Amino acid sequence: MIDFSKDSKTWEWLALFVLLGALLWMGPANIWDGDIDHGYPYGYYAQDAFIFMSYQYYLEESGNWAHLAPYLARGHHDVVQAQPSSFEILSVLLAQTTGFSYATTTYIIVMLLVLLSVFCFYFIIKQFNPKVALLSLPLNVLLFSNVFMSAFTWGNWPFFAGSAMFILFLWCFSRIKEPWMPALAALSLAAIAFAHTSEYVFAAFVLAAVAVLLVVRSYKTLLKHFKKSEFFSEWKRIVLTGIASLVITFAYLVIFVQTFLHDYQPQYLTPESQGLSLFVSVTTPGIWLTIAVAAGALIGLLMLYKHRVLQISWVLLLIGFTNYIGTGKRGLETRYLWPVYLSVFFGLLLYVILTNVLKQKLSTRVCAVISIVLIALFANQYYTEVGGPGLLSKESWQGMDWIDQHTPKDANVLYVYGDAYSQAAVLFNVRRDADVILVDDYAAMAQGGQLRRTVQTERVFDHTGDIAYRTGFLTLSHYKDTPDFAARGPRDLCGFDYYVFDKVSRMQGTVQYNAAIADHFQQAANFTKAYENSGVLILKNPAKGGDCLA
Amino acid sequence: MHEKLKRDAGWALAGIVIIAILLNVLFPDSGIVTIAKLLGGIVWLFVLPGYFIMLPWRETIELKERIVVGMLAAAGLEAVASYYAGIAGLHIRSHSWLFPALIIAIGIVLAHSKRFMKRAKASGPQ
Repeated sequence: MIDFSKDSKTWEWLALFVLLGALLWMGPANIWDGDIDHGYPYGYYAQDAFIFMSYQYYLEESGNWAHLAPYLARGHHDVVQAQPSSFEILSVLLAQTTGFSYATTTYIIVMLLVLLSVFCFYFIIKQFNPKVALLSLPLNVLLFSNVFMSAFTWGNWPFFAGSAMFILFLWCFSRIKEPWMPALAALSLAAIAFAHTSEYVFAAFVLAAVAVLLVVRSYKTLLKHFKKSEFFSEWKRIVLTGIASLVITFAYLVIFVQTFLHDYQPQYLTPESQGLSLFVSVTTPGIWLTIAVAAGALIGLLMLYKHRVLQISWVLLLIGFTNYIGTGKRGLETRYLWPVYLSVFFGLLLYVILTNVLKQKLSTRVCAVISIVLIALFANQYYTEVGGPGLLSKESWQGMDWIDQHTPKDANVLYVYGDAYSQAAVLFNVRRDADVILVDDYAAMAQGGQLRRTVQTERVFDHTGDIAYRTGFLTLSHYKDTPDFAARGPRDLCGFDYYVFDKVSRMQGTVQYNAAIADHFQQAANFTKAYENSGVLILKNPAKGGDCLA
Repeated sequence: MHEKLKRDAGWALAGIVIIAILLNVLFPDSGIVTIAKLLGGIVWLFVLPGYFIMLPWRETIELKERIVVGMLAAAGLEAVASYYAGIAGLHIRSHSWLFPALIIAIGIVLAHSKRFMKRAKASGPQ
């Protein structure tokens, strides 16, 4: 018999299950249109998403995360892969295990890590108060509401991977006194650096802030009995944890410091400057929820020393405002997880109100039922329909796949025009040396009605990691300022092996002009049809570098 | 010990079946084979290794918390191990079966180590 008594664990299970269902419905089921494996990038709405997927092909080909693919490094084989690796590695492992495409496993890993983060944070709150934890669940629903959703569809994925490890570390931190826990804490702290290194820095913020709070509270006792204090024994463990994590991450931190931190300038961004439709501002969830969370945060401030989760959540809230003091996008993006980080404040407010209204001890059943009702209400209110493949059509993807499978490794490809290619990193997945004609130059040729031998193109290569190469065991240098790595410039229109023409566009004129160029190449320069589907046409140039305009 | 493992396995299996049903409802265009492959992959890569990583806390932390935290821990451990193993020359092709199997094997050995389990048991709730 299932136990439905007022303090039965069944109620907790039910609330957690309803939250899981609501999150899956609002997030993955919504973005993927009810199908897990589309076999091509589905629900990818910006180039960042394509960038992180593209790394996996070379990871599987080379077997490791040491170097950037030569086709992303202008033919260089020694460019160091500087991006954090965890998320792509996990995606490749899942692809090997399930047989799904990388386009699918990438998204699955993101969603899995986010869902686990939600429940892991719930367990941290539960240590403080199980009823508050139950009442905090509904706020998590906002993870897949408007604006927050763009973090998923636009490909802010390594952030979620790093944050998942960060939350795992916070869980360990809240139980650090337990035997064996420092070992798991060191692993999780190291895993943050490998997943999204800015969260590693924020972990240091959290530790420093909590330490300061504890010192402020009991500095008199600490001055007298420092070595015998609980503070000393606990923070000795934390310091050892930090040292162990530094040892584990050393190899990658050497790369990180000399790439992402090379020439680093503080950024002072605001949600407004970045576009309010993309970044979370204080009022994004609506004024009433903002007031509720703010009120809960104030209550949390009054009882700050009751439990570590209150201190942690306060620091995480403040980290969300460090964009104003130089952390820029990294500080701003932590706001995507406010529904998780600040959920304790929402739960705390409900708990205080309910205990004062009901004038008696709250049962698990009451908390779970209220939580379930609010989850349903929030899910209904904040559901944002997404659907659709996103930036790239299935046909364009099939064209890219064809190029990968049927052209020589050293072939180069010119993308003439396509709606998706203004975000050129989409073409990282061509897995060949690729260029795309700049839209302005394409428009100028179309207006002039004549092709030119020299066209202005964007060269597709990865400059996110500063294009570094090793000069010693611990030292790196950079290609990025050499002429070879100019992102845009003149190219010979006839100097490519393959030409890709999109046959579908939001602008009908480009479809016609693409078709006219393709016709000209086929008739005047004997280009042959290499591949065609309803969305793209790929032509092969029989005489690369010859006169294709004759 | 074996009784507890059996009981945990029973609960975990029940959880997987319930999640499979939920996925079947929410992803109507995915066949049962796709859902089975997905859950099989997640169980192999994250649930099983995670369960064994969390063995030292089996007396103090309840199963659902250990599964959630263990899955995250397994993800972190496999990602870091795979990074270094790849750099050391072990191709990633072998990592998806090697690392989960290794973590599970070490977990089973530790579960049978009286000294280890005694220490874990002695930890008790704080």
